[in-house]
Amino acid sequence: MSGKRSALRSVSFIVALAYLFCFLPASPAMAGWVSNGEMINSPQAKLISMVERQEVSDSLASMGIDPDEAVRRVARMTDAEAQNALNQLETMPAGGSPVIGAVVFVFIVLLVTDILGYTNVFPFVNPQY
Amino acid sequence: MGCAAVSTELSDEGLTQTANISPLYGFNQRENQCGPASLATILRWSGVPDATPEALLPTVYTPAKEGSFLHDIAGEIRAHGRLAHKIEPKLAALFREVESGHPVLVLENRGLSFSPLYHYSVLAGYDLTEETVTLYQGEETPAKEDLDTFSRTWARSGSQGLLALPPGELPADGGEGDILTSIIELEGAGQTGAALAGYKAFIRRFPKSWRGHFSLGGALYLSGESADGVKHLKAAAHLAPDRPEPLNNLALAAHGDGRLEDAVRYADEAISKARAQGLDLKPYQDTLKEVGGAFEVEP
Repeated sequence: MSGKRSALRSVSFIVALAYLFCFLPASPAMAGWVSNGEMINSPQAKLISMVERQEVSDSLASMGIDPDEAVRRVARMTDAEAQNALNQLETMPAGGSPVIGAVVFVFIVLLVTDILGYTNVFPFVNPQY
Repeated sequence: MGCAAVSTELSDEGLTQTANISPLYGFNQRENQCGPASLATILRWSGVPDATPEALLPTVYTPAKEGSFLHDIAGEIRAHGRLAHKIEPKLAALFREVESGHPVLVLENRGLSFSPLYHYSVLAGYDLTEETVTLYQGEETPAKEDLDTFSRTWARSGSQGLLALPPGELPADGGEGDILTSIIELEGAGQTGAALAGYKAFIRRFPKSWRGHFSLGGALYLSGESADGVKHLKAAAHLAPDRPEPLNNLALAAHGDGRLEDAVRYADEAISKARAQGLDLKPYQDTLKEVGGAFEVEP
């Protein structure tokens, strides 16, 4: 009887172990480890990705601004500053229409020209010379 | 804007006059199932030899909507270990991919903005002289369509285009951050091997990207290649001296290797960088606790 029970117990232990492995993520998460997903979702990374887009860099180039320099300047913003800019973007009307896309585009271009001191639209941007 | 204007604009972007990727594997689609049919075509091209619309139907077709969502299609591309990447919403970016030999799954709105008629197809070629595009749109053989009409129906869908690329192949065009995000999503889908190939190709194209080295370093370290992982994490820390993320992970890696003094030093530095960035300090303080606790136990 007790032998059967202990056999049962070890079977259930193996089953429990198997479940444990089933639910382990593909790349084991380590306590405190900054995952690639967390890194790319930082405010600074999100803002830089927007500035790097062709549409934005073409537009900056047409104004005589070096797009690489623009990215470098945005990379010098702290996450707190980048978050501030993203918050302003979020207060704009949401939606997927091309018109809203244009609003975001204008915001990003003006943000960069503000940083470079060409324009002075947003009070939260301190120009970096 | 007339035909001539569209093709002249594209020639000015430096695109070759004609490009054609053929033959691709076209499928005769059933009604409303242009999503699975188009997906099967680009998956076959990317090296998934047994992809069929029937097999893909259950995961990408939403019966209630009588159609497929682009995010479901992207998820299915990743499930096959292929890089799903949304291209920039510009005709030049779309044609640049075709010029480089990458077929693109495109969404067209063939109706009007207030009465849409959405359709997925695969763009396999263009001809700026003849002013046509070549599309696989639900038949075994491709069809030619007027460039001007296509430019309008594509723009009316929000200019959406999706790539499915084999491991280690990157989009021809696109911003650094957007490409890296696509690779990270592939890693997030559990496709570590394909993601590693992607990160390696990424740092070949963008050798100065700290985010690229950070991502490759992390993926290598977590898949057991800790020495190479640490090498790339150090490169990331060197390229981005103001960022706390590489130092944080170097602290945990050093702790794992038993280099306890290094671990505490890295963790301390990570906290001061995080403070300068205005970031939440809690995760970085937790790392210090993690590596510092062990430091006290084993001097």
